[in-house]
Amino acid sequence: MLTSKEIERQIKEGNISVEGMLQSALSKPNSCDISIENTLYTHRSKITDPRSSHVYKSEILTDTPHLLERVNIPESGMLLEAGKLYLARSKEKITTNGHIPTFNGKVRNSMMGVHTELTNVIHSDEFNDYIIFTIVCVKPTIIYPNMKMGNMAFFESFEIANRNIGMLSGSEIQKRLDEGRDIIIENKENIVINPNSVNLTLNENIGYYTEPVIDLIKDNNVDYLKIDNDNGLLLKNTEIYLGRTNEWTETNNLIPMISGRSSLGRLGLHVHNSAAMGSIGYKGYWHLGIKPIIPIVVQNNMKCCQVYYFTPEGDYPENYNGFLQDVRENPLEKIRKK
Amino acid sequence: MLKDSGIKRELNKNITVKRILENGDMVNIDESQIRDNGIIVTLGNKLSTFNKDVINLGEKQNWTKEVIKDYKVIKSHICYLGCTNEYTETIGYVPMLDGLPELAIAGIKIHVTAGFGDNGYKGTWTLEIESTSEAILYPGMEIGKITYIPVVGNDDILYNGKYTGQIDPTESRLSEEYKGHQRVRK
Repeated sequence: MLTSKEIERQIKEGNISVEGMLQSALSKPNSCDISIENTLYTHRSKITDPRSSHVYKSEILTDTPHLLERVNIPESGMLLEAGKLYLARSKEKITTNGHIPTFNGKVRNSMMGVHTELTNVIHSDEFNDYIIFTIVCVKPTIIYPNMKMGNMAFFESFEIANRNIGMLSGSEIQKRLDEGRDIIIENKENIVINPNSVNLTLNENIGYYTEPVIDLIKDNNVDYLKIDNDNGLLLKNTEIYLGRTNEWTETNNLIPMISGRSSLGRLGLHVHNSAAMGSIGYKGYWHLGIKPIIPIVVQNNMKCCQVYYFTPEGDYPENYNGFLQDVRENPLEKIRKK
Repeated sequence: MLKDSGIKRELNKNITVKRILENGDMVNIDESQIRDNGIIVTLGNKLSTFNKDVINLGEKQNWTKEVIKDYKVIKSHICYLGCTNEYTETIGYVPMLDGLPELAIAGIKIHVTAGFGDNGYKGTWTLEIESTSEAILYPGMEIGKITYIPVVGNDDILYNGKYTGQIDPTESRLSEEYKGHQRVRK
């Protein structure tokens, strides 16, 4: 996966173009920010048909809604209904020649229960289009115009695999854990190494938002619950829960990415909302935006997610300084501070 | 990630993808299914869902299975399990499943935050389908794309987990790890 410095280099060389790119878009280590404008679209029909999606898409790209309905987001913000789909076109137009743009939501939005993609993230290496955001909130949520709503990462595309570029195998993860430089995990006793990932476990502290409405730019009040050792904790399907792993992790020279477990996915449990990608150099717990489709009783220390590791291409800064970097104490407090 | 030409080069070597017919026979996929840096997979005609107020990890769910004929209108915010018509085996690559834009724009997800496969996995892909509104699904429709990321390092750990060889939509086997609320298996 390209680092931001490499994305910048490829832009200069003409292999990637991000038309309308924000000035600060490449300030993270391994992605480019992308944003919405002030227009959202919703489906008029009660039943959607994927066979009509080319029409839906063209209505968005040409701003001529018929099957869709246009809604403008005022500067003062707009209240999105929980569970309803809002479509938006990215401000940026992305063109690539040999790199695969891969969309990813923002961690902060994920922690507020806002999906920005619906399992459609990997585009093709000859991409030339805008991104269509598919925005769905767990709770009623106030959104504002021109917000950064996602990150675009870029994968190399090749005909023959070079075995130094890709995703670490389980044995390689174990090796780098043993070396203690690229991958550091504290509290290792419950982790499990898989063929190409490592399972992490759920900490007993769970946060939730106390107000009925979430405001994407405000400090939303959070309260805390503990998972009972014997009886677990019931999570409702109308709330977004803030969880974290028991394991403290540090990742150097690699790009970590989080994913849910298939066994939990099959029961409808989300552990993040469109925000899988981590950053090179991230130190901290893995923070989860947990949302069940059906209410579920979660257990203390259950295996809740897995982390994958991609090799980076290009230079990257020595120090990462994201908002959750190196936060040992009260990390949940940090999340709600803008 | 492999280019289309790279996928074609690896097909029937480290990457196997076959389409399962109604009678259970496996045939080669169509060359047109290899595009946009992946292999396009299609929706099988079986769907499973369960009706429960609360899920407990140690309990088996009572799944209702159905075979869809021409189409199915799915309800909003319910988790359906479907599967691909394609059976895959992958060695030396991490296969990753992603939904197609046509589904996302219609409000349909095809997995619940678990899109990565495992090196060594064999089987069809169980889909965790959730829609934001009622939506129409057609058996055989193109539903997702599998992309291939090379494995770096010794790839001697091959997937041999709970879902090896799954063909039909396969429900969660998490209850095997729990007895009541207590985890019995690591």
